Amino acid sequence: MPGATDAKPTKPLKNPCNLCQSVRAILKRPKTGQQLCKECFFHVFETEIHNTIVDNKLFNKGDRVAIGASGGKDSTVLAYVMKLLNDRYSYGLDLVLLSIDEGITGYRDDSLETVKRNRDQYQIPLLIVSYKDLYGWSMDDIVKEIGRKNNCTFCGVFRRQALDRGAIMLNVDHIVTGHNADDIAETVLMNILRGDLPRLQRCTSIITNDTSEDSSGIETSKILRSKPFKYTYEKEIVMYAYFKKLDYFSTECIYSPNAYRGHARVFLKDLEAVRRTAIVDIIHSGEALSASVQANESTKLPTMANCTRCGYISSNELCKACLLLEGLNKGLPQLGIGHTTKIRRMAEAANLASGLSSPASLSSSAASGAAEENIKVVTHIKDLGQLETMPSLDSV
Amino acid sequence: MSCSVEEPTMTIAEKRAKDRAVHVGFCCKCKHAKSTITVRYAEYCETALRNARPYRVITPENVMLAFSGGPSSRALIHLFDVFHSLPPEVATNKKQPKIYNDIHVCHIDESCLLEPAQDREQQDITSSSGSTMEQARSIAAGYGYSFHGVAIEDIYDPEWTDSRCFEAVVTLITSLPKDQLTTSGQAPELLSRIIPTPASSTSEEDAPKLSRQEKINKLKALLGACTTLTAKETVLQHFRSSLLIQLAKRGQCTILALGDSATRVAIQIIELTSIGRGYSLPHETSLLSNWVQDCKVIRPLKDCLVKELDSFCGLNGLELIERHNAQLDWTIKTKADIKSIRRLTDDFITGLDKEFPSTVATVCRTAAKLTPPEATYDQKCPLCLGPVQAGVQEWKRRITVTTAPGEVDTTITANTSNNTETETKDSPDGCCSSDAGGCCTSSQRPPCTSHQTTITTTTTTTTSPSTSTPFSSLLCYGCLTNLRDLDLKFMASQEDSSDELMSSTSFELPPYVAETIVHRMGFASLDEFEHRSVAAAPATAVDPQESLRTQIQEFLIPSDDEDE
Repeated sequence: MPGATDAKPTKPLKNPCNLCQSVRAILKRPKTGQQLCKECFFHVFETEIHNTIVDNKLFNKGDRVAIGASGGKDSTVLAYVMKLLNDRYSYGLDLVLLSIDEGITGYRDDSLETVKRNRDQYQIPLLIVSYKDLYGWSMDDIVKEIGRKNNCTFCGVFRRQALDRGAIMLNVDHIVTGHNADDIAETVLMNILRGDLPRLQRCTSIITNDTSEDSSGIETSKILRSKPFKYTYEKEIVMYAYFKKLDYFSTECIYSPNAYRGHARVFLKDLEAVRRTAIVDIIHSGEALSASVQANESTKLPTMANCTRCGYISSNELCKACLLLEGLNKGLPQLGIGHTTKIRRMAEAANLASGLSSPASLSSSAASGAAEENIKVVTHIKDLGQLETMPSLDSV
Repeated sequence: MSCSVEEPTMTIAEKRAKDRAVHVGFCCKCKHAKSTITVRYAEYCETALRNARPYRVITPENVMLAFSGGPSSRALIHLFDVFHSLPPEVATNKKQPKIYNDIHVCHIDESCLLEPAQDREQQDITSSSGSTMEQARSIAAGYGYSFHGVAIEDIYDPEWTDSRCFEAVVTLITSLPKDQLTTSGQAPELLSRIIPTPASSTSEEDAPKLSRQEKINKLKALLGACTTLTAKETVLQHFRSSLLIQLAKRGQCTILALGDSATRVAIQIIELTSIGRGYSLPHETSLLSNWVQDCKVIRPLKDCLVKELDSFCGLNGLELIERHNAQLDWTIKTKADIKSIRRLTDDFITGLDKEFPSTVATVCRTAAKLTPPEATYDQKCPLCLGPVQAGVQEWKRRITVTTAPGEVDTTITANTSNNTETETKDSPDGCCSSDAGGCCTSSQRPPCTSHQTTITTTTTTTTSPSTSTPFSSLLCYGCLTNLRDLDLKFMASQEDSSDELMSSTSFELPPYVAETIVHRMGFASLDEFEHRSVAAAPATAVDPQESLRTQIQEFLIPSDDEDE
């Protein structure tokens, strides 16, 4: 929309801010195209997040909330804004930072330094949980083992559990993550493209893991997760960080280029260029589709149970993380990705055929060797006592 | 099973049937006549077979095939013929029920939107240069189907509405002064004015009220008012749907068959998601949709890829109509506007399908598992005639803040779903006392009879008599988003005087929009709407909850704390 030009004769301001009309506008808002001054931008940005939190009743007074902090722009701004709103509107929340170290050299170690700086700048306590400690495998190890094709699957599954484990360690009620509107729109498109109906139903929910209505008696961590940035544009988050001069780490994960999500992202960017409201429109469509999926009785959503090995919530006997871990430990990296039963069968057949105790490698040649090299193999995640060094709360 | 060439062998089923047969050689139904025909391992006499129904049909229905001229719909016509043809021995039996009763073909001639330069040069607009009507007619005639043709500009003809003669068009006005709107960042709250087209001097029903050129001009004016290609394409698509439904109803057809291929459906799914039409998506992409009253919409070719249909036409030597789709490139002024969401989605899906060949199938399968929403056809959107979700304006307002620091945003706290102007300016009514007969959710009156009215609804001001009708509050989310792309300078504002209103209004929406608005407001007909008591209450429907709230507003403590 075109911005207003010279408005009032008494105040010949060139290009006044659309909202306050009193100062010159210095930026164009990606979400609406309005021309705003810095203060008004901060105001609309912060107020929208506040509205999202309030309208969706995300928190209770006195909640202990962990902020998933990666050091990237989303989580840095999230930490900043959560603290700001907590103080300004007296949410009464007890905030902590929770960071996951996947073990990606040249990427995660740098971003963790940023998180440590955030801890000092915002005065919020920090806990770092690493894949190496939790699972015995860092992402570098995993990529060496399986190559670059399905590594995002491993990282995503492990991270989700790691966040929960960390949250339990910190004794929090709630985890907030920095998923923004662009992420959610991308996810809606991806789920449609991949035909993933259960995910399509869940992905637009602002609060997930809400098992309050679930009466199946299974053990869950009961830690809610929410996305206060659900309606916040990625570009606006960057703009906010820029104008507020917030400290963040801005490189892409070095293992990511070939992900399927990349296609959806490019398409989304093209859409946004044509129509700036497309992102929010997709989220709105996603919410409507979610209701449609839910209404369809034939859609079988998986029933939840507990993983037999680690006790984590799972729709199968073994949770995905345990499954993937088993695959890694046995040198069967395909386990948990694609046709699990087929691979097991093939492995067992190979076992019987060759009489070996460890199965022949299926994918990369380095696969079989890696299993034995691993010294610290943690197969029972629940038993945290196995960890030699317990991560401690890195307080201010 | 042995395979001897000399004699026919009995299959297992036949053996079983033979064993079951009690009266071998006699009809199994009447049991006394000698059997003459064996069907499905059972024997019948002629009389019995005449009454037996080989197809599970209760009543054969009339089908309207939508034919655009492209390969998909051309294949549709041919395939219907193949499917519908009965073997000769059955066809001669007149008492045999058919699957479908009559098959009709309809075509929308979009030639007026093809070559604007030529149109202007030619004096005789009715010349068929570029017109696709005759080609379509001859193709339909080849199969012996009845043909119905209409031109896209006929959407402005009062004839193409449910009432067959709804003589009114709609102009839009903005509720706030325009300079305020451009800076607000919000989608403008639009109100409508229903303008009666001048009553014709003759009472002849057949006399066209508008000339073809006038209709083309109106259509082009509307398209010109849309600033983006996406908006143009979407609006045109709504017009097409409206015409197709009317054509089906005119032809007494209870089924409308569209030639959408799987590729088209997959693109549609992503496109609809991207423009915010997720709510109506299940209806617009399903194999069978019951959304439109008395007219089932089916997409029989939903599982065929467009490449397959293309090859099918080529191999069977089926003729197509070239240049049958409106090309809107001529309306584009700058290079930047050349992209539309439809084109982007088309490129995206086609490209993705090359790399991941199951993309189209997967996307279609996903959408097939969606349940259509619980919405009634009575409460359809005036522009797209689709389902309307409750509270869409509210949703939009909640996620975008448009007030300066320190300013109180009345729109967010007030929970409005109607024209905010009416609330602040007019005294609130106690309850649904508006003449419209209730709020937007009230029950509908019976379908209208034909009328001639043009109502110019101005936005409600305290001085002039209120004749404006709501618009934005009646729309679905997708249309609300789409109309953000309307150029505000083509619309008058509520504050303008009536002279300014008439001069600055330069586009109109077709009669079917006016008809739907009038129905949504609870009036059975245009006449009734025009003769409603204007002085009593504003014509805008009032949400009862909201009017109660305004009464007690002064006693409410604004809640901006987060405790539950």
